[in-house]
Amino acid sequence: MTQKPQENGKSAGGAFWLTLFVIALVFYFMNESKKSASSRREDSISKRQTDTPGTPPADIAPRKFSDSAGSSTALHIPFSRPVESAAVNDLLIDPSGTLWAATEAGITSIRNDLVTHYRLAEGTFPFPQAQCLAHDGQRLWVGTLFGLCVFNENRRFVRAEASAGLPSQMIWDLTSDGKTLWAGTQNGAAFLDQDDNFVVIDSASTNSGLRQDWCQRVFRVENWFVVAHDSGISLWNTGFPAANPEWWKNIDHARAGLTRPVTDFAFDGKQLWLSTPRGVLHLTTPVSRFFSDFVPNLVS
Amino acid sequence: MKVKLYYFRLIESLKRLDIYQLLSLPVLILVILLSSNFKNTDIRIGVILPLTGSGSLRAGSHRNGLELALRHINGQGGINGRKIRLEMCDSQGSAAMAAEHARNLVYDSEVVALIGGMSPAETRAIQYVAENAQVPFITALCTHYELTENGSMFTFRSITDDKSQFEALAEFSARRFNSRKPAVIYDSVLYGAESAQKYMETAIKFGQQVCAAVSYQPGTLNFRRQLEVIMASNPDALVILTPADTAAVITRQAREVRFTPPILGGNHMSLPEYATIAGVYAESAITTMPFNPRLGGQRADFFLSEYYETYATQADSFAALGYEALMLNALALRAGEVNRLAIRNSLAQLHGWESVAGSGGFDNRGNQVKPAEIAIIKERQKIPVNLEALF
Repeated sequence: MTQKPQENGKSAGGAFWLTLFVIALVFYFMNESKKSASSRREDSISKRQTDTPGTPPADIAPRKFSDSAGSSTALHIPFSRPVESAAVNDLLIDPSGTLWAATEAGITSIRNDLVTHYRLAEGTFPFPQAQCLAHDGQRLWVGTLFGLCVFNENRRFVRAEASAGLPSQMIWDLTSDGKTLWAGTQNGAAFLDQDDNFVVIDSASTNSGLRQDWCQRVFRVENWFVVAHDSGISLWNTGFPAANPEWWKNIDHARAGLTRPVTDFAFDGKQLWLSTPRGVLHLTTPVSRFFSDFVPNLVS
Repeated sequence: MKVKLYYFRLIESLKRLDIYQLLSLPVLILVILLSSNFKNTDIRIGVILPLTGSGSLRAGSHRNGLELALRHINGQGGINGRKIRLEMCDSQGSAAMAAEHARNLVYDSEVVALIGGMSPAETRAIQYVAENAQVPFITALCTHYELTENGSMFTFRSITDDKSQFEALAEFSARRFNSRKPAVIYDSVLYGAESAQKYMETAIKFGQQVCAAVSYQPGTLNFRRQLEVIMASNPDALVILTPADTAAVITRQAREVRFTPPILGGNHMSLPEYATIAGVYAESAITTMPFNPRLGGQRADFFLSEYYETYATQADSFAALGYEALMLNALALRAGEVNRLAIRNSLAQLHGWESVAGSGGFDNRGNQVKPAEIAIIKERQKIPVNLEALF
């Protein structure tokens, strides 16, 4: 009489384990099928993306840097498939020869085939994304949409103390002339002085010399500081006070027939070049004559 | 007493289980919880609009349209059983504020898509963040032509852009009034200069040569000097590229100085404040029309009646375009997975749809393919020109 319930208990326990196993199996397969469905979807590149010039088809994506390393970092270089992986916002090679990539996932460095990721999740990067990079000869700076970071001696990126002095924490571009760091932010531009404090340059402090505060690209050429903003391009002769609008030259988007955004600047030793979604242009006035006879004409 | 009884029964039944069975219970619960997604299953879409400030009335209508669409979508079970949730943000008409909201929505709230923007600067600010983070972005209010001409991949515009409006105006004025030398008046600080430039380029295609392009500083109330310059060049039409209230003042003053040629303008002149301020002087003005309920058929009828029932006011174009924008997102969400890239790809494939605003579609740059519709103002009402004979 006493054995019967025990037998029942054993069989009930077996049924319980079986139920548990089946339920776990069902949930496992449900999750797996979800994952595979999403990865299948991500593999399909729509017509619009493949039609876009400059986007490499998946089958000729850049070769992976190192398969022999065997580490997971080497297998996930974020720019091997631009649309599926984290988008790369900026690239820089520092004086030691290390390649740095600012991506939508953080920072990736590549040196001698060794790929290192700096991520928010790993505690090596303080923000979810990185926008732009600059090296002032001593330090590597990273501009993000959340503030300014610097690479410290512990090989970690930390929020720079000077970041609080920026006109906005949304940093769109950084540049360095070898000595000074310059930043273009959502609410104005700024440069880092000798005491590691930012000096703000915006339309108010320049008496509208800088026509617009949303600074999308910043560039240094000879003694000129060039800003591409939402209304056009402003150039400041840094030999004179920024507060005097007389030392600023401005080019208007509409009047110059310039398409937004200006994606980059370059200087060939004579002329200032700029790239836009509609092609490459240069200013007809050579940089050396900006001060004397500046004409805001652009030639494509 | 009953609770106590149930408690004892539960203890008794638990006592009957052996140790393995007791241990298996929390394991089973844990497996189920781990297998299911802990996160909120709502699909989050970010909305950034100038809900306060000068554009608040229009933004408010747009928000109402979005919220009505939300109610309809969720009322029908959502997207594959998941509800949509709108994260509403107020840009206060500032590009900087819009950019910050876009950043927070994209990186903190992890929305799957963005809707919004009204002024070009504000819309571009959202666009830059969206393109950067590869988040699909639909604007249903910003008409600045450049928005979809800057190599964008994740931006879509469901309203007809300035270029389409200018083409429609130039084509109509050339055909109807045989206009060959129109004059243009524009705001020198807002994007008027860019619009004027674009209008001049467009007019050439229709055999027109702009004879005078005159600007004014914001805050100008007396346009006599500008009108003198315009009248001196003897134009056969006047195109006004300014906000609605200024356009109304210009129209009044132009008619007062006996400027008789036709007056034309884009979507801004279809706003009620234009006809209200310009009064009788608005009669026969030609505008483009962003929303014609007649094109939407039964969908538009349903939308208009539901909107009136919900908000006790008539739906305007901003409301209709808001409704359409969220419906387009829902269409894209139903077509594929709920992730940013899949939504973007689905939107890019929406080359044709039927909505409250009629037929539409995105071209390969994400721009609305529907041509702008021309309306004529008669007794302060906008009448589509194809129905003009009926009125």
